[in-house]
Amino acid sequence: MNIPIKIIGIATAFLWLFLIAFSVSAALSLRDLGFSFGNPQITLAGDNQLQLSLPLSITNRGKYEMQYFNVTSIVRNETGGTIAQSSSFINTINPGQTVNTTQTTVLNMTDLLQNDRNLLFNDSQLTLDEHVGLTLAELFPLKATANVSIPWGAPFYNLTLENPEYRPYNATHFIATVPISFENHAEFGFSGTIQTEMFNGGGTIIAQSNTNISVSQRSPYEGFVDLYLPISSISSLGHFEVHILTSFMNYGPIVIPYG
Amino acid sequence: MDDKDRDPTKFTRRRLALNIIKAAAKGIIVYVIYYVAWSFISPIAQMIPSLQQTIQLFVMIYLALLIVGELTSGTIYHYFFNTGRALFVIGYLIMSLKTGVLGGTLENLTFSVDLRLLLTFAVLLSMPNLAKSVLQTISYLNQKAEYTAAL
Repeated sequence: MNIPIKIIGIATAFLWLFLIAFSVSAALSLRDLGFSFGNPQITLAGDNQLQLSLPLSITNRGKYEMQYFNVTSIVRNETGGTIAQSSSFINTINPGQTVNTTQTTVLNMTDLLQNDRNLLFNDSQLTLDEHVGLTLAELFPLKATANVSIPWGAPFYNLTLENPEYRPYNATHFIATVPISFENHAEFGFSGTIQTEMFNGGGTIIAQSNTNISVSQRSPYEGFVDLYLPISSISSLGHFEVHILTSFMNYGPIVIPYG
Repeated sequence: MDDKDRDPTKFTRRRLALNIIKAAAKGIIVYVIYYVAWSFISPIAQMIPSLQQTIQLFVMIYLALLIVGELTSGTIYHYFFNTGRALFVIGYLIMSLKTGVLGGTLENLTFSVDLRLLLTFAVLLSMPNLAKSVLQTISYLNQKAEYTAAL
């Protein structure tokens, strides 16, 4: 019985040594994996879409193949809600190979701005969660997560309608000139219409005007809205209701009191 | 008394001395394997705080059982300790399987490695060790019975 026992002992010793050696070399390969994220960039694409591009470089300096490499990007707003999501997949990254790829996540501006007023008027920080998954040496599933902050510039930051200045137009009407201003902090320019309705203190609509606007990216806007209103309807207190109409979203009314 | 007539299971001072030498040699070999393997793994272990503690505890208990087992070589206790060691390895690995996902952080990167498949291989590889220990025990008891019957 001694010979079979010795054979079992020798065989298991060799198998253990092999398992330990393999584990150590796989651990070293794990150490030699390199991930690097570039700076995220926001660009305006057609069809009211924003493209969020994150350059990603993966270097496999280890001894084993990396398989089933997948990256999932999730864009979250300040409250942690998911805004957009995208995934990409690379089947195999061989030893010594470097793969440079760009993870692109498309944000639908209409959905984004219609649903989150905060993003329209206030600068914010979006969070890009990067989830990376791969299998090393066909044996070790590895998952990694990283967060990248993306500054979000509001397209209508500090939207202000100042008090109207009245001047006579004709015997029955006045022109009310209302200075309007905002700062486009966004990475994209846009054009559209600002529809302004003026209400007197009694809540009756007394004038309406449409003003075309065109703003470049990261630029301030200053303009005027001219409203023609009957002299009899003028009151010292009231409010404006502003509707913003652009190609990528419609928003309103924004109620701004005057007087 | 001829060598053939000696009790193969008898515990002598000479055997004790040999056992001490064997225990020391085996302990040193296992520790050297651990030391060499650890020198490779240590850069990764810095990222995974629980890894070092887990491996060190395992090696400590394994070495203790190995040394005590070798010191009691030639007695039934040797086989108890050998079987206990094999069971400890299997048990420890099965317990590790429950939390076989090691995690760590590196700068703003959080990662986790799933070692459950590797641990399953290790558990399977521990089974022949347990079988070997049981066979050795049977062989020892058989030898002892044969000697008693010959008297």
